[in-house]
Amino acid sequence: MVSTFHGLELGKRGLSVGQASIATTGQNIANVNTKGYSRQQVNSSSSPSLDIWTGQGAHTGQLGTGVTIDSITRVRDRFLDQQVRDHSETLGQWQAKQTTLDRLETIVNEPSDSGLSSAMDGLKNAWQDLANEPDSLSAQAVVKERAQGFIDVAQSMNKSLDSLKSELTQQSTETVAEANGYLKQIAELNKSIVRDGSQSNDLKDKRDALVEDLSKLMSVKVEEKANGSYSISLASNNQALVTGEAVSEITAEDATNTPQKFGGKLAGLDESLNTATKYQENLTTVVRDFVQANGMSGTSGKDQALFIGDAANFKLSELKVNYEADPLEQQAATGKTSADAQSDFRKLVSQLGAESQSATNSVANHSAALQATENRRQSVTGVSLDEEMANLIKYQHSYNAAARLVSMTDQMLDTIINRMGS
Amino acid sequence: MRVTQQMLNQNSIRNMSQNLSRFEKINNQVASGKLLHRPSDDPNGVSKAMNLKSTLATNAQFERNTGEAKLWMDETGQNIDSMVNAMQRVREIAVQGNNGTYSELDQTAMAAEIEELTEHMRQLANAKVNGKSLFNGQKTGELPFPEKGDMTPSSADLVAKTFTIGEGISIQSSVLPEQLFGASADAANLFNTLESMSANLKAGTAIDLEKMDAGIDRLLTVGAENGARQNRLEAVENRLLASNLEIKSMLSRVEDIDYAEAVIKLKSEESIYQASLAATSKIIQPSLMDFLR
Repeated sequence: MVSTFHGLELGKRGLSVGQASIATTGQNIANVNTKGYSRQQVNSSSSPSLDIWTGQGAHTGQLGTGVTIDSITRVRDRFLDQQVRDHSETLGQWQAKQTTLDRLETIVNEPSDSGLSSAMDGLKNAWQDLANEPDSLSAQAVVKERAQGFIDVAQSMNKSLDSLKSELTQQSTETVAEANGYLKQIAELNKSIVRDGSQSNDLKDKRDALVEDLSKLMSVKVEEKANGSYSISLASNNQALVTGEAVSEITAEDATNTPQKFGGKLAGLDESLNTATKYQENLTTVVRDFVQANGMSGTSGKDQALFIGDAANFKLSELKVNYEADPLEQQAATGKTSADAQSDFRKLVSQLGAESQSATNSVANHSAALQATENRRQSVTGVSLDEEMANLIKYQHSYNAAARLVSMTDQMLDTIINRMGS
Repeated sequence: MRVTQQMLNQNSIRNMSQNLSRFEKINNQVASGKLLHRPSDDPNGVSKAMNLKSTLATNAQFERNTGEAKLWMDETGQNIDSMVNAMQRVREIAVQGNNGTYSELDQTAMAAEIEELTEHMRQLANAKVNGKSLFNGQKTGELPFPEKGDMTPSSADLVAKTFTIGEGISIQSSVLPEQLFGASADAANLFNTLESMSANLKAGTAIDLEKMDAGIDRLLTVGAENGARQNRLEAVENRLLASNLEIKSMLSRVEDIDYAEAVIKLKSEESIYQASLAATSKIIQPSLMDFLR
């Protein structure tokens, strides 16, 4: 026989599922703009039924007992997560490179009327004026001033390159610290998630967001353990970073010595540093060739050379104009000519341009790919307000209907208890 | 595909910012008139533009050099003309003197005039342009014949003044005393001739007109050479101007925008941006909430 209060219990279960569903909908709506939030859904099933005698042969009938909440889970796709992380890693690497190349282009400052190229032209023309009027003191002074102007431009470029390089090193150290911070937070969250059991949706969202942030900095592999904790290791060599609650931090030395195993922004920063160093070396070579072509003490062996510098151990920052020099006493230098140096500089500029152009394109491509993957993931995990509103109406109706069931059962009981006796 | 508000939001922002950045780029090009701002805009073009600018700067210098060379040559030509005129007068006197019909007093007067003309020639040989000695090779700070009566050029290793008027092209812009007057040891040296003339007149002996004529011929020849060089200089100057024009138009093709094309592009980018704004404002606004009551 069915219990008298069966209807009340069944109604109550319906009410509580309705309430949980509405609350979850509320949570989704409230977090519509939360970064890393994935929508949650109430998973319910009909509760175990009761066997009752139905008087139809040997078989018993099964009477439904309503509904139970099995779980509240987040809607998420692990594979899409992995794809997003992969794209973030590549994008992070290219972004770091592109930013640096962008800076380098600003430093090189070509095409312009105030760059190194026009400074070279200026000196070349000053020589001509001096050749036209060899004994003119003012033409001599102009040669020296143009030489100084050339040095000023070259040295300010060199200084900017120095500061760019030190900034990159600094940034690399900070990035390592940032990554270690993420690793520690992920381990903390692992701890909480394992303690809570396997359904800590919001903590998991937070952890996934952290892993995603981490993946911009370095290339990681993520493995979810049965207890819900994440094991994180380097994608390149499986070096463990987070195992349960344990963290093995990365070091700045590692990041500079073996950047290629880290990938992501860390590798990008290191490549940037190499690029900046390469362009600084090339610039130094161009400047050295140019000043040697224009006479530098130590190469022509004359104290009357226009420039003072050490050819064997050339340092751009130590280059000076020899104001005591008598430019007329210059000898034609051997080796590269001014025109060669100028053409080398043009080569440097166009090489930089090409590199920067391809980095810009790569950033655009990878960010488009990331965006597409993000969209696909959003399509799975994102909160749609229209959908939530429609659900809200649906749950409201089911709640109302369950409430109606309770009040109807109440009326039935009223009939039995209060009216049957009188 | 399930679409969410955040997706709409993100994609709209992305599209708007892409459109705005293209709009900004073309706007920058129109405002500056330049196609190239950074090496990455067109690596090859930038390198070409730098090369052309460099060539322009070099050409401008060559133009300055040709101007200077022209001045020197004009002065050279004029001075040689004056010398020829003076020598023609000397020749007249010489012809007169050779007649043998003049008195000793007349002869002395003629010798005195020749000496005056010789001094005039010396001064012409010491002519200056812009404060620089015209006929003293590259030692323009010194005079070739500083002492009156001393007709030996002051410096032994005279090299003619030249100007660079093109890549690897230089032109002689003045002539050396030796070319003008002959080697100083030579009896046919113009000054030696003049000296012997005045001596002959005083002594009443015949004057060698052939030496005289050879001197005048030399002056005329050197003047003609100078004129020929002037022609060559003019040709080079014209070529420089033509090549400047060519290079400027090439540079313009590389780095300047085509205004008609750019403005049309600017307009189209502007409307694309506005369209993306309009579309975004429409798509973001309504949701089911606006219709549920």
